[in-house]
Amino acid sequence: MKHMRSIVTFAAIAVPGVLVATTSFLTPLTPGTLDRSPEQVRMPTADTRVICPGPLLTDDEAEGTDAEFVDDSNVSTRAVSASAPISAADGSVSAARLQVADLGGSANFDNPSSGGFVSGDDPIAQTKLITGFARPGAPALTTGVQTVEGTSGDLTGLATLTCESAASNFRILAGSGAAGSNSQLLLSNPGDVPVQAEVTLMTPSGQRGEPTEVSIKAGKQRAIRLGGLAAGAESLAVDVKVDGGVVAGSLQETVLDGLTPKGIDLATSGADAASQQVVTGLDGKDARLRVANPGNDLAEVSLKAYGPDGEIDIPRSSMTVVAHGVAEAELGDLDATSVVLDSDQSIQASAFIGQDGEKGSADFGSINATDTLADSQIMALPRTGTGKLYLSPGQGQVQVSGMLDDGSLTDPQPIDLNPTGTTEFSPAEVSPDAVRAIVISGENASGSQADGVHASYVVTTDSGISSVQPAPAPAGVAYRDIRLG
Amino acid sequence: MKPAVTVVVATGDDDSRVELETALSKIYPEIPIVDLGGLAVTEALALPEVADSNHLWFLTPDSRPDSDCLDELLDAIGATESIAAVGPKIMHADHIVSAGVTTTSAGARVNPVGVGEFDQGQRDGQSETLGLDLPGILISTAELERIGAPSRVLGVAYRGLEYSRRLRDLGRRVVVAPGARLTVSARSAAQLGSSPLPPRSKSQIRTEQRYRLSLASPGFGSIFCLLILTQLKNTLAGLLSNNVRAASWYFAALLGLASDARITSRLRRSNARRSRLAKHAGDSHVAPLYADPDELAVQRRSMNSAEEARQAQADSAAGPGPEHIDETELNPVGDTEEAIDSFSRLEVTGGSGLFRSPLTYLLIGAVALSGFVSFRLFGPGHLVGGALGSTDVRLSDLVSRLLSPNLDVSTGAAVPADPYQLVLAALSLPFLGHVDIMVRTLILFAPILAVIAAYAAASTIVKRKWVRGFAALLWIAAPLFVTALSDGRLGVIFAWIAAPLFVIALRRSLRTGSIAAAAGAGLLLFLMIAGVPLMLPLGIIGTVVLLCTGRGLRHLWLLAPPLFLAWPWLVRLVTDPGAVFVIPGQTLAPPAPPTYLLAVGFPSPIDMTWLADLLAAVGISGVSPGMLQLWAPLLVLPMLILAFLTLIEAHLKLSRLMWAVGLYLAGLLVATIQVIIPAQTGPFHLIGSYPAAGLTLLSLGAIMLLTLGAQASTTKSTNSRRLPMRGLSGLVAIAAVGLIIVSAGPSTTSADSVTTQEHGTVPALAADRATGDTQSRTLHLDVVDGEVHARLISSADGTVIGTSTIQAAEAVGGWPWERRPQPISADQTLIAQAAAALSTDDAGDVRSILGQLGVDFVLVDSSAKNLTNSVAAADGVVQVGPTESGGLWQVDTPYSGRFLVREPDGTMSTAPMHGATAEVAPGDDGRTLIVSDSADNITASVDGKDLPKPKKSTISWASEFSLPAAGGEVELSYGSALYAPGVIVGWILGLLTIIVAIPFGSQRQTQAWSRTTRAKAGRTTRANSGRKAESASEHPVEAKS
Repeated sequence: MKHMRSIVTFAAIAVPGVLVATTSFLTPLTPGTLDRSPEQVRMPTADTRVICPGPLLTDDEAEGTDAEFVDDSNVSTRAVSASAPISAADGSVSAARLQVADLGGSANFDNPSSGGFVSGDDPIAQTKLITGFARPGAPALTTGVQTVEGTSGDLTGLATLTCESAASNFRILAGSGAAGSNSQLLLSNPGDVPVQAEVTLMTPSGQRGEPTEVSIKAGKQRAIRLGGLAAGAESLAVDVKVDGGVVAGSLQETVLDGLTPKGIDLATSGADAASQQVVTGLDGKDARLRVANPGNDLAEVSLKAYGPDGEIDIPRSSMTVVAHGVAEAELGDLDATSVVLDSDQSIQASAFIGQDGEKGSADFGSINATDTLADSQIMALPRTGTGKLYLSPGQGQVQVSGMLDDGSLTDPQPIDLNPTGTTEFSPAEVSPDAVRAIVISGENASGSQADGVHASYVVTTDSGISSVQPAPAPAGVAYRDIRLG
Repeated sequence: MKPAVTVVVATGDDDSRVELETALSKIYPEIPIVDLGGLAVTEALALPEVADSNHLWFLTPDSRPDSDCLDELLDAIGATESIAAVGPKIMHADHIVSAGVTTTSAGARVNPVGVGEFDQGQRDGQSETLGLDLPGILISTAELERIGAPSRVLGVAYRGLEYSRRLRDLGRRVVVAPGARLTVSARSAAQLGSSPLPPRSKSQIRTEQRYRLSLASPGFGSIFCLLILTQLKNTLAGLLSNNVRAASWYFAALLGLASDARITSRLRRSNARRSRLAKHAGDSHVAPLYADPDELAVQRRSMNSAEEARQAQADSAAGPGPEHIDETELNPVGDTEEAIDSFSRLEVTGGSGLFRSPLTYLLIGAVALSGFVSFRLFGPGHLVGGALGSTDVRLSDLVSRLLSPNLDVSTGAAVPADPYQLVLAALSLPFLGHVDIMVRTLILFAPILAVIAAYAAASTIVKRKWVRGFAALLWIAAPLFVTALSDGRLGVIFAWIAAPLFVIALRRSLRTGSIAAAAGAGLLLFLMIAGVPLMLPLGIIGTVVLLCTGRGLRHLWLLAPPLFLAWPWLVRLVTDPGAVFVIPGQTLAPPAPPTYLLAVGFPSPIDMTWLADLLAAVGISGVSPGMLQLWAPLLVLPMLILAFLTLIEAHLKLSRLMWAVGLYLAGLLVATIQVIIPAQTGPFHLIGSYPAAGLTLLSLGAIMLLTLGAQASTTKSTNSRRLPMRGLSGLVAIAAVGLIIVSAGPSTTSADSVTTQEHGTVPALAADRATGDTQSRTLHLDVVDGEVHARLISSADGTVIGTSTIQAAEAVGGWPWERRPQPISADQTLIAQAAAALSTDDAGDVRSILGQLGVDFVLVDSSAKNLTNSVAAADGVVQVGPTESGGLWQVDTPYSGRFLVREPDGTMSTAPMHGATAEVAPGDDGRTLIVSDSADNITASVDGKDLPKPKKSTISWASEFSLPAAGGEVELSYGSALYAPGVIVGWILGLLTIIVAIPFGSQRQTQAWSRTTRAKAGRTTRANSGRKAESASEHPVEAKS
């Protein structure tokens, strides 16, 4: 016991010293307080209602005031709707009842619950409301796609759009207030009561002016011209907040360079703002990336691009976006590229790709950032030109089934994902017959360079280019992150 | 011829005169004795004994002159004409009492002779003096006519002085005849010292006052005013210095000032007459004879220390304790600073004044801390927030929770109440059941209680009060405690107040063998366990160690209160042992601290954003909180250095060193293990165990070590002169204040602070339904960082009742190194689905889901604007309106609440609950009663007959019962019927423990026990020494080492 004092003294100095050194500086112990992931819950089933905005709005009044002005545009506007079979909670498999109606008007047709249904490429003259009716435990896997194709005159090019469901909040990253561009925000109210919407314009220099209040009557569509609200702003993002209801929004943009048509486009909101965004399917000329920052602080965004063979260098590796503003990055010509954007703030992204047409004309198309592929998502394909499906880098397989004219689904075809590059896939590979819609399942896939796998479909014709994205998974299939406690 | 001398006494008491006569008759048989008591001067002169005498010799009844005393005096008085009075050297036993006295210029008596001075002729050189003490004064009889007799209104101490002053004022001399010796009694001797401070008696003050008044012949007014002010000042000073008795004496003197002035008016008049006669105004003629005030101060100190020495001698004579012996052995005389202090006459330790007690400053500091941290507690409404939860509950709610095995939170849970809630209920009793007022008072007074407890507990290891104060300051400066105050972690506050008291009680139990102390320690242990459940295993280990080392079976009392008062909780601990890692109260998610912060007592990483904000507010922007965090190590640096020096330099007792180091290391290890073990789940985090238990032990050990270091710095003069330990201790004390600020600062910016709120968690409409007969619930939705956060609120949610450590532990599973949240249950999934549907636009009808959950209202946080729009767009909810708590929607269903009757066709209706029974009307066969509560211990009965469960239940997680077609009164019961009586029996036994803990007659028991132990110790010592002697003879070399 003679050395007890020395031992105690030594222990008093050495034990905390060693403990602190080993745990604090060399190899930190796993701390007890960890971030916990949210609970992912399957949403209760609900009807799937989407709205196709209808024909492009043109400046009719210009006609007649200018002797030389002749509107020789040859524009066709068509819509396809589809309802795919999906298994219900009780084990049965069926496709939901599908109804297509004029917004605020009568039904065009009503297809009962069946083994699968896809409509023809019907010309439409006004806004359409496509409803898939869910039953308890049986979600409605339905969608609609609108195609606008102009072959001559001012409106030359291709604009396609997956018809959007109504929401109380959304943000569309498209449109421009520059000279030559005609951008209009189209808001449709599918409800029974008028709603009040608050439209805020985000420009490269931040929020432009005070929010504009617009009222939309029940069952009506209303257009808001953005040229006057944001004159001179090269790139825009439109933020819409609705009080007391929901509206569906889309943004149409037509561009003229003097008398030369430079393209038409229809855009909707994509994935919600988050700290990570993935845009895939950048395949074309003069690709541009647009990022909006809805937050109150400057956002630093880092970019990474993945081509078909792996990560590629792009002209910009980072961007800075002012608070409540947008920024654009020119990425040059790209080939089957996915871009992953990361930021310390919540951001929202979209991209534009272009294609040259005849006689100096050109067209461009917008691509939304998408949500991660869910178990079951449907995408109706525009019936024109040739198209390809692009999948962002990931691991595992994505299953794709094609829907034929008779509504039947082909056997799912697995697509092996490239963990470091973008995967290209042509829907024609699924079946020798014409594929009208595809059902994509990301159940066995996981993202390698970003959270989850993202998909986008790009269609090109001689005179135009455009893209569509899979319709969000219907309520009952989609998962939502909820924090409990 | 021998001059005729007459002895004069002035007592008026025949007995004492006779006594003196007998004593004198042996030496001076011829001298007559007269008593001038009550006679006027002329009457006295008319007495034959006086008229015939040449000299008058004033004696007191207890005076015993030496045989040659009178001759010496007569020789001295006859030496020159100028000498008017001579006095003897007054003795008691063999030391001098008085050999001429004087006063300060202010009139305080100074006796140049020190206390207990032996006569070695040292006072014989000085004979000229301002005054003489009365016994033994010899004057010529002629003087009596001129100056009169000694005053009887002045006390013994001033009578002679005043009489001598009369002669001095007439220009005559007063001298001591050192050869003359006169012995007085001890009582007189005690009164003839210098004027003592603090005063010894009331009469001393009065006499001094009268003496001063009697001399104030020209400037009476000014002296009178001065005396008023002086006595007033002395009264206040007495009060402040805790010396109430002295204060009362001074106050009495103040009141008696007028009467004293009246009594002394005759003296003043004759004094004035003599002054006129002698033609002098002031006291310049006697000024050289006055004593210096410093001289008086020195005399007073020597008197006080002599008094203390006498006291100590008396104490040690009464009973020499073993500690006392230890102390003297450890600190041989002259080796300690105390000893040097006592010799050097420099006051270091100070008296017992209020301003000299560290506790005063600690209490002021604790009040300041309380105000700094807890100012938010003032305000209308009730407390909410932090780890506390809403205090908007009544005592009856608390009691019914304690007596019920079910907890009404979210969808319900079958868990017993925590001991924490029992403590809350017990503490609310003195506040007439006002839980809110109790909690506010507790948090406000917690620093004060903790500082007092720590100050008291520090006395077990150190004796010096400033060192104890140092320990108490460190105790309340602990970051864990300060954070607990602002976050409302009542559990930590309980532990912080109880831990020092537990140390005292346990030590008492170990030392005295008192069962009351053991039971008291058990109750305090229960309080700590209630606050910090991990104390339970530590307490069990400690008790087992105490029992195994044979410290007495009475230590079983340590575990009795937890066993009696919290048995249902202990039973559930068997299946959910993880609950000991949970701190009771609402769940907070502080990030886990790195171990280097744990090692210095921080329970979570240091948050300095508040200081950065503060700096930004005063114009210094751009300072990052990360940079400011680097200052925190500077604060703990002095503590680390002091601890280090204490370890290696101060030679502490080995047992104490082991205790301190053992507590610290055990605490550090426990805290480290705690922070890496996930214990609870929050919506956003898997939350590590809050290291309160480990840090409590760690703080006890660290503070013990630092205190012993500080103690060493003040006592070890030889060794530590090299080390600036004393300065270091000061630095540590300053750093402790810095630590308080660093830990309290975040409460200004943190969202986790306790604050007051007037409205409830849910709007009144929903709250009424929740407590009404349908007991409906409210779904609360909020958006945090873009994610939807859903909470199902029942009546107890968010309150101090609505938490359970068992329930928190149930949410986490797995081995300690891989604990993960358990998958959510069906009812939780349903809540999430409802939240998902409501937070999505256009997501269809939510009525059936909300109906199953018993939800009548949806409450959306007012800050979540987008969510408000989504809920507004949902089908099946009707907006009620914005409320203080957020936007409120009512679920549009024909039924309401959690007790539903389901018809065979699937339609639902409400079964209103009156107490525990519901009236069900007759109806179809196949009806069921659904109780949407996830607890599985619910039974329903009609007329005492249990209702069967249906074969296939509609809602898997809820309880469902088949109803008879005839209907009837359905009675619901939760858990066993024996639960509540069992809990009450536990309380009664707990009450018995409290009675045992009251130290009735402990004094006797203590003495008896210590007698037996002393006897035993004596025997063992003897036995040991015997054995040692044996071994010494066997191993002489070993014995030498």
